[in-house]
Amino acid sequence: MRQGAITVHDVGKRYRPQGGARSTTLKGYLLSGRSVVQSKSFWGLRHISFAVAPGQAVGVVGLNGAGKSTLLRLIGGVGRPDEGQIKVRGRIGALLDIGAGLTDDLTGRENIFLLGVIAGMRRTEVAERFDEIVAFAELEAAVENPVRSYSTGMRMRLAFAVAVHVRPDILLIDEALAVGDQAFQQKCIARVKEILNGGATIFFVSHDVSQVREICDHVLFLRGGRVVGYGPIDEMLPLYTSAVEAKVASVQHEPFAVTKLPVELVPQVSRFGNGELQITAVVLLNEQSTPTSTIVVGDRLSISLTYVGATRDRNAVIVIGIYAADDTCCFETDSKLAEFAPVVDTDTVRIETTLNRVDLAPGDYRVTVGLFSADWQQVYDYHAEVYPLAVTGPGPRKGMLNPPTQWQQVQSRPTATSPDHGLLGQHSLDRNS
Amino acid sequence: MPEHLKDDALDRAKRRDQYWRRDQWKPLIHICLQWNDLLLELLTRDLKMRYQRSAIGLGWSLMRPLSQLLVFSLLFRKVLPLDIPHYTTFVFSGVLAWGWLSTAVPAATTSITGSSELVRRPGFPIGILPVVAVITQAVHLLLALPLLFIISFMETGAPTLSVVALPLVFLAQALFMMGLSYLVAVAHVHFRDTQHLVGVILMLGFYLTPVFYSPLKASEPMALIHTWNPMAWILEGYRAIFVEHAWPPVDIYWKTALVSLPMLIAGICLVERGSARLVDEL
Repeated sequence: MRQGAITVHDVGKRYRPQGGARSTTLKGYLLSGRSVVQSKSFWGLRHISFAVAPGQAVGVVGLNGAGKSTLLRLIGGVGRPDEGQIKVRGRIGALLDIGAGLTDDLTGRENIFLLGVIAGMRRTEVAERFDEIVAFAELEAAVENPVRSYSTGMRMRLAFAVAVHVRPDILLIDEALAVGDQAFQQKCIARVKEILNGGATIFFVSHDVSQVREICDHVLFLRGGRVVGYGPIDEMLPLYTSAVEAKVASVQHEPFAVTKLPVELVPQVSRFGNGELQITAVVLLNEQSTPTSTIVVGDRLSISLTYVGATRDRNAVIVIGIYAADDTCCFETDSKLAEFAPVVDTDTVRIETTLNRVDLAPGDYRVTVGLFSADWQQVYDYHAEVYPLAVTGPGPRKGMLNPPTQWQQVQSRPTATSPDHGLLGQHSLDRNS
Repeated sequence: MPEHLKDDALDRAKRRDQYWRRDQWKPLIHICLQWNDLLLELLTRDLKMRYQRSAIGLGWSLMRPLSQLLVFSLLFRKVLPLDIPHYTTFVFSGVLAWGWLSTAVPAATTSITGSSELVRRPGFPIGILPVVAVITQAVHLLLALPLLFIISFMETGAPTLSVVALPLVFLAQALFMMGLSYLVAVAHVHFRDTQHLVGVILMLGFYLTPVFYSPLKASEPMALIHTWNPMAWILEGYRAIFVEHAWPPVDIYWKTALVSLPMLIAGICLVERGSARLVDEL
């Protein structure tokens, strides 16, 4: 069973601030009586939903305090979410707090056994891979010395070597690939890739964009405990880099000054990008080409998007997406995929994307629009799930998809030439048209 | 629509099972083997850390019971004669058995809070920590056991067949202590002064349990403190073997089990159910 998959559904984790109402001593608890004052708690994570297929490598990026490590721990089963659910299939290997479990008074050999068994290996397994581990850690000469005499680099290498030899189905990595010198880091990355190629799933938290790019194929971008985006690395990583750049440039630089949009956009929460090209207007149009935010199921929907600065990048990629209320992506496409390139002769360009049928279940959705450079390296402007779209009309009992449906009874005639298919079209009822 | 309410209810019911891992349902034998390996490694770590760098090593663990033995046998034979036959064997068996309890329970109290780096590791079974504490301290008892046999031999003569009941008495004490250990370990995660409370209670327990004096007869006025004291039952078992060379009374086994099993089950439930919250409290 060398397979692993992670499913996270609407997960939230709440934290009590330190020194909250609840006492940590029995004395305090008895003195304060049994009255539990609801202290101001905050959500470290909220509404996190995503799924990782077996064999995928997901990089988790976000600024400090985005909840990356919390999420990693929850997936590892350390602590339970306060809401939502997490499903994990397979043996978990973790590269968290590298070096925390080393015992100073024991020798390198004893520590390898101890760490290995704590990580979930059997003693026989550790014994089998012992030489491999020592060779990987480059500690052949020092393995019989107590760890007390090791340098920081040696400790890290030892702990890392054990952790990557567990052969997990799911490998959780928290900023752990910054161990040792360049050569050793390269070896670590190579080893992680090897584990990935062996069919394992990797969940990698890092601030190092180049490492994420090297290992991962998908990126989960967190901000303030919420998912900003989850998708292919090409699209998500530029979003993150632009967020970092915005933070570096601080508030002095306000790239979106010229824009006046009907919807309020909050930089770094619902709006990202360097502002070189700017989306100035987004209008949803119905079949009659009148602006609207409500359509009936199966209707045509056009998304009209105007942006300025088109002369600066004539090959900009336009991204259009529809997201459900729980942040699930229902639909996303881009102009590159459609091989559509606007003819740019003025600085302002208006693009209309038409979806011929919106076969979504009734409900509230939000439209995302974005402008990227053709090589996906830069985000010019990205409006994350801001334009409301309500879909009304009859829908399915459950689910998001709402295709035209027909029900029919198939005549059972034993003499028929094609008994498997019966007669199509008879007694049919197209509910949506 | 009631149908949709039903779906909501269903979703909520599903979400109650908040963390699920296929791995957890591997065969019991694997879990046992894994526990066995973990126990072995953690045990050797604890013992090596404690004794590797001291000159007489594990010999230190004998100092405490031996010095206690010296004081008690001087005090209660010469100064305040208690008139207990074979007093040296009597008090040594008591001191050793009580010593196990009085070192293991405080160690178990801080076992979970003291290993936060282990508890924070994905997949680490938190429930193993109190067990490790109890077994580590049992090693000291086992080391002193030959000495007890020698003293018993010199004072009361050769052991009889009843020695084979020793592992059973041992097991009864281990069971009682595990139950206690789980409860105090979980309590200490939530209330950090449990540690001090445990110290005081153990000190009182030492005097209330017939460690260095003989248990009260059931007819005597304060007999309750001995007839309802699991440690008194267990000491009775040890003394039957070492002092009287007789079989320990059978009722001590089931009485200890009756007290210990509910504690153990409650403790395990608290650790397993609450392991999520335990981590947050660390």
